[in-house]
Amino acid sequence: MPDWAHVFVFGSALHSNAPKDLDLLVVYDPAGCPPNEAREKAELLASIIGQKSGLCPHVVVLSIKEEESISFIHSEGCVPFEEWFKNWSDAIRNPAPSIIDAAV
Amino acid sequence: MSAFKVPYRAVGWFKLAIEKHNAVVSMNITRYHFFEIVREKAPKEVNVVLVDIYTVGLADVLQARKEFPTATCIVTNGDWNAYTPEAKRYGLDNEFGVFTTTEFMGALNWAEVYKYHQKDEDGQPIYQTRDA
Repeated sequence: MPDWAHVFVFGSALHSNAPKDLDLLVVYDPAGCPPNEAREKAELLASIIGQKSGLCPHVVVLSIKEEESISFIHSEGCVPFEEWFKNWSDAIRNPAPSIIDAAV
Repeated sequence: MSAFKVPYRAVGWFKLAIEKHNAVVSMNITRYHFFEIVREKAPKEVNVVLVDIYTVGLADVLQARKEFPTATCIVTNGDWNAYTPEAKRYGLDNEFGVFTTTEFMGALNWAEVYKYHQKDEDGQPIYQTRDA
């Protein structure tokens, strides 16, 4: 990840191994990325993540100060992208048995 | 190419809502999600960048102004969407509307569109900011 941003996952991808899309929060540091460039840079980052995951990303872009003012990470239960991606990749490779499989 | 991804259904829904609005005389979609609206009353022109972002931040407002220099408002589709207090503050300070769709439908009736706000029981402004 670039040094000007922290990327988080929120929404349905936290509760499903087969989400329809991927909600991302990009928290940027204005010292490293001016606000008037943050959306474009975040979309570029999201497109790479989208290619890597095969999911369609939807991106919320907030400065550090904006995130702090509305506590988005806490209120939405955001998970750091690296952590989510590791868990999700593991789950895709080793899917949990379905109820029917477990019964058999 | 726009930095904003806006689903076709959002553009379609917004177009229909604007066409039905009593204050609107005409509308022209000059780019996929950019609406040039002409109202009956002055100031007549209201130019809107429609987006579909869960929480619009300051970066989105600045991006909208950069991509669409004649824009006067950014509107985020749907009432589940919202904006940050910083985005709204920037809008009020720079005479640039920052709204949800429901707010925008009300704002079209105001002379100074960017100033529009809903009111609580005591008459105080209510803004659709994402709260902590």
